[in-house]
Amino acid sequence: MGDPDRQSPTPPGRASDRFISVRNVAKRFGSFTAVDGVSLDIGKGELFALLGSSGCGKTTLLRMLAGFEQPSSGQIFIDGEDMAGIAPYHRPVNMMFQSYALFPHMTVEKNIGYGLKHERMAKSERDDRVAAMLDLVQLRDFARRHPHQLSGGQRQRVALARALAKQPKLLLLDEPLGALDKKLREQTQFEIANIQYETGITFVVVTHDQEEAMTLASRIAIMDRGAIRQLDTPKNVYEFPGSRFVASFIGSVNLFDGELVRIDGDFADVAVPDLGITLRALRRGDLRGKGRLTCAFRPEKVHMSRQKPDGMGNTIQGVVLDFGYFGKDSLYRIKMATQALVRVNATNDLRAGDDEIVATWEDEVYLSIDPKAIMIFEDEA
Amino acid sequence: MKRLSTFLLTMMALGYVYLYAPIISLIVFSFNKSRLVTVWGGFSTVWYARLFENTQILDAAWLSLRLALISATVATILGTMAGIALVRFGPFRGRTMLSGLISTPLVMPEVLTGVSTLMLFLLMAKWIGWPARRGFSTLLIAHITFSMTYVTTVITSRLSAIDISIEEAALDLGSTPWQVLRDITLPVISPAILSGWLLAFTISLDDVVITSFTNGPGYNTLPMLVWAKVRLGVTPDINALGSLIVAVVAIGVTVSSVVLTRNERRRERDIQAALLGDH
Repeated sequence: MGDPDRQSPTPPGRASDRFISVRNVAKRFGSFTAVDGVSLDIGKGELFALLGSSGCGKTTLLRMLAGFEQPSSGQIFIDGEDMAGIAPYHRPVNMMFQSYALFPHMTVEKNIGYGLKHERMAKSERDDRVAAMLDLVQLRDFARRHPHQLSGGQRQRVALARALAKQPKLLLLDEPLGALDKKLREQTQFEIANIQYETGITFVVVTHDQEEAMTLASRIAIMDRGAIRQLDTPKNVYEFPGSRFVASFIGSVNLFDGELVRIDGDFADVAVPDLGITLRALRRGDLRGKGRLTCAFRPEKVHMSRQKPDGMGNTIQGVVLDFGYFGKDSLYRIKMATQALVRVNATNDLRAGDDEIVATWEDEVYLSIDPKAIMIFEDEA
Repeated sequence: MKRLSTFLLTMMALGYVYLYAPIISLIVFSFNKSRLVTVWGGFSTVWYARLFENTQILDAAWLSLRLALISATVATILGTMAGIALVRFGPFRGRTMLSGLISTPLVMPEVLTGVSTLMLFLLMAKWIGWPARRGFSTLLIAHITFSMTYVTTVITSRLSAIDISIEEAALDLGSTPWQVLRDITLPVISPAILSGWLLAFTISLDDVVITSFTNGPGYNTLPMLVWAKVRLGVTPDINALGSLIVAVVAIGVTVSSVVLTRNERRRERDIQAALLGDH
C-alpha cells in the first residue's frame, strides 16, 4: 500500500500501446442511453474485464466491439484500424457467447472448423488447426459428438475453441462462466487465463461476477449507467476504490458519514458520529479543506479482540449482535453504543471451541482499524 | 398399475367408439358386396377394382395430388421467407401490416376468402385479360395463398424459439448473412419447414370451400368430386377410396411417430450421459 497518491485511478502503463482503442463511444436506443461516452485503451495480449450489474452497458459495449451494434457516436479502433461500418464478418474479432451458441446440427469438430471455411486455407491445414484447438481445450475424444451430447463444461470449451480457431486479434467473452456451477467455475477460470497466456490473444471479458473479473483480468473497468466508474488492476480496484460507488460495488464494506476535522500530514482526522469517535485515516492525495465525507473500511480489515488492545488508534467498543459462521471465516455484526452496526470478518484460523478468540452473542468486543485501511470519499452529489 | 374404475373404462370406450366407429364402418363397408351402403351383402373387393377403373376419380386424385404438391412447395418457400422477415428483420416499415395480412386468412371464414379470391380473378380477367378462364393456375394461386399462412405460423414460432445468438455466432465467425441463412438458419429450422410443408399439403389436399370458388369446368379435385358424388348418395367406391386414404395416413403417422420416439429416446439418453460427464 503506502503511497497515498496511488488512489487516483490512473491506468497502468500497458494501456499506452492502444491495441484496442475506444474513443468517446456512445450508444443510444431511442431515448435510452446504453453507453454514454466511454473511452478506454486495451493493450495487446491483455486480459481485460468489463464489470457491472445488468443494464450497465457492458454487453452493448461488447457488441459494438464485435460489430453487432454500431456506435451512435465515437470511434472504435482495433490494431489501428477504424471499425466504423465494418460488418461483424469482416472484423478480426471473435466472440464467445453467453449461451455458447453452438450450432446444434454440427459436430464438435464442424463447429470449431466452421469459421475456418472462410479463410483461404488448405483442408489439411484446417484439419490440423481444428485438432490443435481440440487439444487446447482437451476435447479430442469428443470431436464427433453433437452439442446436445456434451455437458455444460464441455460445451463451454467447444465455444471457446471455436472462437479461438480463427486466431482473432481480439476475443470477446460474454459471461464466460455464467452457466457453470461453482466447482467447475473455479477450474475453468484458471483454464481461460492459461489459454489466454498461451495464445497471447487479447481477451475482453464481460461479467457481472466480481470474483470472475478479479481472478481473470489484468485490468478491470467498472461500469455503471453506461459509463466507466473506475479502470484499474483488480488489487487497486479493491484496495483503492476511487469512489463510494466502487467501494460498495466491489466486495463488502462498512460505510459511515463523517466530517473532516483536520489534516495532519499524511493523515486526515474524520469525526464519525455513528461510531462515536474521530477516525484517523490515510489522507487521499486530492483531499483539501473541510467538509462532509464518507468513511469506508472493509470487514476483513477490522481487528476484533475481547481485550482492549493497547497502543492502537481507531479503537471502538461494541457488542456482538449476531454472527454467521461460514467455515473458513465468520461474519460478525457488532452493535455500537450509538446503535450503528459494523460488519467484521474474522478468519477462523484456530479450531472452533477455543473460547479465547471466538466471540459469541452479547460478548463485548473491541474493534480496531488501521488508519491505512480506512478509505475516505468526498460525497457524491 | 392402478385399476381403472368401471366409470372411467366406460367413458374411454365411448370416446373411442365416437372417434373411430365412423372410420371402421367406412372400412368394413368398403368390402361390402352389396351396392346398398347400409346392407351387408358379403365380403368382396369389387369396389376397389371399380375404383381403379373409374377415370373420373383417378383424374381428380391426380389433380389434387399435383395441386397439393406444387402449392405446398411454393407456400413453404414463401411462408419461410415471410417468417424469417417477421422474426429476424426487426421493426421494418410495414411489418405490422405484413403480419396482419398473413394471419388474416387464419381467422377469416373460408367462404369469405373464397368469394374474395373469386372476385379478384373476375376483376383481373376484366382489366388485364388474365385469367381468361379459371382452372389449374387459379386453383394453385388460391391454395398457395391460404396454405402459406399456416407455413408462416409454424416457421415464426420455431424461429422465435431458437437462440438468435447462433446466427450471430456464424456472422462473427466470418459468414455473410446469406451464408448464415444457408449454413445455420435453414438447417436448424428444417423440421419446422418440413412440418409446414406437410400442413400445407394436407390443407390443400382436402380443401373444398375455397376450391369450389376458384376452380373452372373440368377441374374437379378429389374432395370436390367426393362431395358432388355423395350428394347423389354414398356409393361403395367412395368407401373404398376413403379406406385407402385412411390406410396411407395411418401408415405415415405410425412410421413418423416411431422414428420420432426413437430419436427422442436417443437424445434423452445422450443428455443423461453428457450430464454425468461433468462430475
